[in-house]
Amino acid sequence: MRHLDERISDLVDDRLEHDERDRALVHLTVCAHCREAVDLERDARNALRSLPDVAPSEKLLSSLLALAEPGEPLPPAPPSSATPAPVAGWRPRDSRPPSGPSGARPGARSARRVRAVRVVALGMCTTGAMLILLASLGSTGNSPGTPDTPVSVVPPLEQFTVEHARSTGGLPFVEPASLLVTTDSSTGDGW
Amino acid sequence: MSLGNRVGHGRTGGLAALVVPVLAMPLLVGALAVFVQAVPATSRDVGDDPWAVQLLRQSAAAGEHVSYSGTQYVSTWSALTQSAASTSAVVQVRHAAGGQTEISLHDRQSAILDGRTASRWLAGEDPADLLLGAYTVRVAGEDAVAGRYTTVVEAFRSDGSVAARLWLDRETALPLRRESYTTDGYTLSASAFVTIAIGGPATCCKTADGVDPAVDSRDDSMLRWDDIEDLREDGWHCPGSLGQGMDLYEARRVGDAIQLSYSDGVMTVSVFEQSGWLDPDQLDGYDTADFDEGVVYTRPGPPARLTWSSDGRVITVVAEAPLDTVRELLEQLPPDPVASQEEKKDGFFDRIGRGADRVGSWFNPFD
Repeated sequence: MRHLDERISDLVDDRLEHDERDRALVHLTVCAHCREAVDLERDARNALRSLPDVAPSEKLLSSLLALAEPGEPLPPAPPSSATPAPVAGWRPRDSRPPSGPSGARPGARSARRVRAVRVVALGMCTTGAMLILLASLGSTGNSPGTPDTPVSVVPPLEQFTVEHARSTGGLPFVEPASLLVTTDSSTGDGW
Repeated sequence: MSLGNRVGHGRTGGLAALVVPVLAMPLLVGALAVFVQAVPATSRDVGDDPWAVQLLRQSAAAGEHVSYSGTQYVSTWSALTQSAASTSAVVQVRHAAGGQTEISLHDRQSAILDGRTASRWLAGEDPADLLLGAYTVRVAGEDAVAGRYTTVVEAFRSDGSVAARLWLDRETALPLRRESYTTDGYTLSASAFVTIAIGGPATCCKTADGVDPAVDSRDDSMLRWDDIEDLREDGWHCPGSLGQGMDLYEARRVGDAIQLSYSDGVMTVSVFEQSGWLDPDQLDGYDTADFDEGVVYTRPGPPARLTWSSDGRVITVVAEAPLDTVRELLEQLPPDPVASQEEKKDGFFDRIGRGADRVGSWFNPFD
């Protein structure tokens, strides 16, 4: 069986997954070499923890603070054709406190609420404007009377009666009776 | 019966002109009824009388080659109410051979009727075919009208009832007197010449330059059978017949409406189709009648006028015919249920839907 090697540090620091840790412990029962290496690792770790705190020197602090001050202008940007710098495909784990009712700060929560209200109000206004625009386009007053568009109709009865009378002019055995109820608008120019 | 209700507006300017036609008309009607012997309706149903057929064909063509002028009384009753309500008047008639007919009411109001040659005739070759196709005809006797000898021809329905009586001039075959009846013998219309002069000027109803604008404007609006087929494909109803021999003989556009003219040779019905729906709130002066689940709005007239909404169209009927023909039309194009009409109110959401359709049509390359 393979020795633990680089996994010894993870085992000592308790960073192995559950199954991996079980397999490592089983290996330690049968491998004296790895047991010795683990003991050495633990001893070194305990020794480091037992050291007293070391205060940084004034010079070191001033050097670190100087790094935070504005420096020289940035170098020109590389050409767009240049190969982008490789970036890690991962990001550090978020170490901020979890958000939620108990974790969110009151100021941030209020700002998010205001922003949400604004978004909702803007959406409602946009939707209302769209509906009003569609309603104005669909009103019967300004829409063309295409055959497929239902419109309110008031039949011009007097005109229809006159047209009916005229249509009977070619019939030899029909009375011109509907002429009797026609209006002055039916008056012909005559001869 | 309100005789001369057109006269009563004082348009003629003289009392004599008001009184004489009012008194003359009932006297004429009564006198003519006494001198003409009616033939019992039950005595027929033996096929067309060839002599009557010949007379009717001559009469239908008489206007093509005979000019005349005269005074005629016209009376019509409403097919809706079948009451005493009627309209009557004495009119001046002037006709030019092969041309138009001008009918003047008290020398003030006039109308020009086009002859058959001015329309796109859709019902066969001869106007007499309408009557001969719908009725059985026979010669009933002889009579005198306006001092001229006439032959009386009767048109019978299949049930034996008389639909019309025609007094045809022996010399010219012109119809000098006409009467039409409903199935129960109720008089629907009547007219007769009081005086008539055969011959006269060869021109009638022309403007100074000899061009009649009425004919020109009608030619563009006339529809042929091909046009009617296209309209049907676009959703217009355009029935070819109303039943009972009422066949489509002329169709044309009137503004945004389609006018369909039907006749059986004696009765006439005009059907006007418009796109849209009928808004009852905008209808004033109409009576209402229920038909199935819908409502028909009526004006008794005469002539009887009815209008209703049917499947996205507004149907308006002007009828000088028994109501049976209109009932058949109502069965073909039933009025929309009342609930459906209420739903067609021009509400906010209806407008939104139509607006969305319009916006969609802007981006539709195939629209």
